[in-house]
Amino acid sequence: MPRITGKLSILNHIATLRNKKSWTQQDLADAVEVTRGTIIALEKGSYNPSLELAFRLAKVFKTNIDNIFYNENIHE
Amino acid sequence: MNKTLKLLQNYLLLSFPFVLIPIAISQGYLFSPAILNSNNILLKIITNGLVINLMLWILALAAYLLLLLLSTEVRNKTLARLANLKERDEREEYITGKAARATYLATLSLTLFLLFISMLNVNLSSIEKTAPGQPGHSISLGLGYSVFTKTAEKPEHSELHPIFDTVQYKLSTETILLLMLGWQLVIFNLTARKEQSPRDE
Repeated sequence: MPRITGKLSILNHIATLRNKKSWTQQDLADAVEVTRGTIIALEKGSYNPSLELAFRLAKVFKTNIDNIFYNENIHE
Repeated sequence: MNKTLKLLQNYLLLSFPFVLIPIAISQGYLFSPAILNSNNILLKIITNGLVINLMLWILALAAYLLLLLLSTEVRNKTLARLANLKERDEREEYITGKAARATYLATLSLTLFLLFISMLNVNLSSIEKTAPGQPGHSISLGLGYSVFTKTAEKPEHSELHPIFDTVQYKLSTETILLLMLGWQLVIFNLTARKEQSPRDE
């Protein structure tokens, strides 16, 4: 069985997707029922969302989770 | 229950300034004894009213603190606000969890330190020289524990004259409890603020 080692760095396209729809951070926060501070932290990469929040974001942006979040530094 | 709680809270907050007045009077900060001892009926009614309010306020505070101790619901509503707990979404819950952990560990270390300090006895005394070649000073270090508060004991040896003794500087119980309360609030808020993004609202 392969082992995934090293710290996973999870990045996202939330800011890009939000700007495409001309939404403010507050608009997005209201849409997924979190605070604006959480959206800021997500866009900066300083917070990783729960699975539930990730699915909410995917629904709001009408796309898959894979199109929003991606990762680096995976070593198998 | 909610209405009673709200009434209690409002009474404690709104009548607090009127509680300070009789305390200030009794400490001599307000009004001279001549004015207080006068036979003015209106003044007597006002001062008696303030004193009754003070007694009621203390009873209300005791009831409220007992409620805090016994009721999770009251604790969550009141202390969460006092402790500045924000749990509006998952990230804030996560931050609260981290801050609670940091507070627990910091308080544990403070408690250990205060326990040690309260048990530690350091005594520096000068010795009355009764014979040539006798040492002039003595220093003693000890650890002591008692379940109940001990009154200060007279030194066993009359030739010892205390210069410095930590017994005089032991913190009172209320000081220690206040210190721990303040410490918990400060550590929790500092940790929560550190976890939050600088650009948060």
